[in-house]
Amino acid sequence: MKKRRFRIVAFIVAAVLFVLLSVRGTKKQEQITETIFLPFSSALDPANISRQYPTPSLIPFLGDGYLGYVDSVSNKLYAAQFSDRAAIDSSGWISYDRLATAFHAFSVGSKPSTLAGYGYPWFKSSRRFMIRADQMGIAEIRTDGSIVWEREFPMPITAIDATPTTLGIGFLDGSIRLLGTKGENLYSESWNYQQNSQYDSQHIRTVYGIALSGDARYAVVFRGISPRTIDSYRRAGTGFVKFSERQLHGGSPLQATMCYAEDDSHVVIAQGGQLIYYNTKKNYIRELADVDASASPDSDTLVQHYVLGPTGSNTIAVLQVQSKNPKAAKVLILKHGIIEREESGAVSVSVGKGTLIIVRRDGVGIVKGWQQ
Amino acid sequence: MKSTKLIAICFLFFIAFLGSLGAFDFQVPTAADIAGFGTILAPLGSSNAKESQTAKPGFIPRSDIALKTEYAEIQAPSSGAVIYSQHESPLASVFSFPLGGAVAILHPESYISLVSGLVLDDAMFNQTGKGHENSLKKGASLGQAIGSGIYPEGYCGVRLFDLKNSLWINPLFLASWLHDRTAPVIQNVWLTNGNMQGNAPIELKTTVSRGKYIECQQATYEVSVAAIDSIIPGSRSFSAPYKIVIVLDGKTSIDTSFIAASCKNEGLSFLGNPAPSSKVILENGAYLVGRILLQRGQHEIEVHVSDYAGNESSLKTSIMVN
Repeated sequence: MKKRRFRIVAFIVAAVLFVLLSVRGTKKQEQITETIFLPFSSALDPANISRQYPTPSLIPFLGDGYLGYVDSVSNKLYAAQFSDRAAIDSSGWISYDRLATAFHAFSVGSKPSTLAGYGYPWFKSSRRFMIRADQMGIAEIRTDGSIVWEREFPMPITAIDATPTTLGIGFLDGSIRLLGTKGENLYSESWNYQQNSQYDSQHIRTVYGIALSGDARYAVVFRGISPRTIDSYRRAGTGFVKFSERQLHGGSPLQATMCYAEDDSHVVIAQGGQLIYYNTKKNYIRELADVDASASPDSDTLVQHYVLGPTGSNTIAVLQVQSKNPKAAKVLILKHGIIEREESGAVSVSVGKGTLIIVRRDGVGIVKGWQQ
Repeated sequence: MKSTKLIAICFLFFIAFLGSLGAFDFQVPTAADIAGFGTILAPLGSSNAKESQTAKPGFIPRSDIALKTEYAEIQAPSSGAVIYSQHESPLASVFSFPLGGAVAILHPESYISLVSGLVLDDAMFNQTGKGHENSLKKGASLGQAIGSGIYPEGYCGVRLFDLKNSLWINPLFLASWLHDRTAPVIQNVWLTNGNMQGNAPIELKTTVSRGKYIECQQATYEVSVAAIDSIIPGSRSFSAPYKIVIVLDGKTSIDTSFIAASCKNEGLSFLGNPAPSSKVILENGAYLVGRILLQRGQHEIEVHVSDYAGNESSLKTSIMVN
C-alpha cells in the first residue's frame, strides 16, 4: 500500500516537473508579443536623436543602403541612406566608399563630420577599429577617428573578431594573434618559415575565420585546406592555450564568416555555399548546408552564406544571398544549427534587449519579446 | 671596414636571392601605370613630401605594386594552388575587407603571390575547393581589376612573398616588359642628428651654392633622402626609387634598396630600418636610409639614386665638420 502511494506521488511529481520544464522550453517562442513593420519612407532623421536619449532603447542597424536606429520603446525608426559602405554602433556611424576615400562620420546627438582614415572602419562589441587599406595593420579608433593604438603585421589579415576585452586576428600564413585592449599581445601562434622545409598547401594553413566567445574565454580558429581544421583555444592565465583540433573533409580557400552563440554552446561557420555547425561543448561538427554539393540545375546561380552574428541565447543569424539577378537575399535564424526563423527579403538583423530587428530593403521589422 | 663587410654580405644576398627568383616563371601583368614597391601608400602616385604630410594614416611604404593594366581582366601570374580568396560582399550589410577581391596562390617555387583589387570571376568560387586541389594554371582568369581600399578605380595590386627567406619581394624584378629610360629625381637629402636639440636637419641639396661648404658638427647623422621615380614614362604615378647609395670620401657608406621587406614581429622592415614600416618614412616624406659618422675635417658626400633599369641621379656636396 505504501509502495503504491509512493508511486502515485512520484508520478505526480514527475508530471509536474515535466509540465514545468516543457513550458520553460517553449517560453521564448510564446513571448513574441508583437511584430511591427516600419518603412524607410516614413523614417525620422537620425539628426533628431538627442544626445540625452536613453541609448539602451536605441538599437543600431545596418542594411543594404540604409542604416540607423530603432527605438524599441516608442517604435520609432531613425534612418539615413548611405551609398557604398558603413559601420554603425550605438554612438554613431562612419560611411565610406570602397576606395576608402570619402569618410563621413555621424555621432548621435552631434553634427555630421568628415574624418581622415586610411582603411575600412569595422565596429564590434562597442569598439571601433580601422583595418588598414593594405590589410596589414589595424588601429583602434575613438569616435572622432583619432587612434587609440595601432599595430602592423608582417602578413595580410584574413580573419577578425573582437570582444570588449580581446581582438582576435588570423593571417594568410596561418598565424593568429590575440590582442588586449591596448593592442598588447595576449597570445600569438606563428609559422616559422625557416624551420619548415615544406611549402605545399598542406603546410600553409591560412586562417579563414576566427570567433571569440562573448567573454573572450574561448576562441575558435577555422584554418587550412587539407586538412581543414577547427582549432579551439581557451584562456589560461593571461594568455591562451589550444585544447582541441577537429578535422573536416576537403576544404575551399574562401574567406569565412563565423561567430559564437551568445551562450557559447556552439559556433556557426559560413564559407561560400557551406554552413558548418560546431558544438563547442560536445566537440562535434555538423554540415548544415553545402550548396555546391547539392548542385541545383540552375548552375549559374551562386549561393553564398554570411554569418551575421549571434541573436541571443543559442541562436545565430545567417544571411543567404543568391548572386544572380535579381539578387535574392534571406536571413536564417538558426537555433543550434536548425532553422528557427526564415525571413525572405531580409538583408540583415540587429538585436536589442528583448527585440529583434529584421532589416529589409524597404524598412525594418521589429519583433518584440525576442529571446526573453 | 665594417661597411665593406656589410656591402659584401648584401651583394651575396642579392645574388642568391635574385638567382632563385630568376628561375621563377612569374608574369607581372603589363601595365600602363605603376606605383612601385616602397612608394608611400596614402596618396597613390605621389611621393611628394609636402603632399604626403596631410595623409598621415597611410604614411607607410607599399609592400606591393599597384598596376593599371590595359585590359581589366587579370590573369594568374604563375601556376600554383589557391590557398586563399576573398571577395567583396554582395550586400553592404556584411563587412568586406579593404583589399577587395583577392586571390593568394602558393607557387611550387615556395612563393605566395597575392593579387587584389579585383572582382573575382565566379569560377574562383566554383572551381576551387571540393577536391579540385585548388590548382590554377598560369594565365587563368582571376577576375577584373576594379580597385579597392588600397587601389584607385581600375587598379589592382600584386605582392609576392618568399617563404624560404620570409620576405615580401619587390615584384618589379619580374616585370620583364619594363622599359624605363628616365632617371629618378632627388628632391632633397637631409642629415639629422637627433642628439643635437634645436638643430634643424642639414639640407644637402638646397642650402649651399656651388663651391661652398656646408658646416656641421662632428657626430653620427641619420641620412634621409626624398626621391621619386617615374617607372612608366608619361604615367600619372610616381614611385619610390629602387636603390640609394651614399658615398663618403669615395667609400660607400650606405647601400640600400627596395629589393624586399623583411618580416618582423612588429611588422615590416624596409631599407634595414626596424619594423613597423612607418619607421622608414620621416615626417617630411623622406626615406631614412642609414647613418654616417662625420669626423672633423672636410668631406665629400655623394648621393646616388637609381631605378630598376639602372638609370641614376647623383648629388655631390662638400661638408666641413667642426
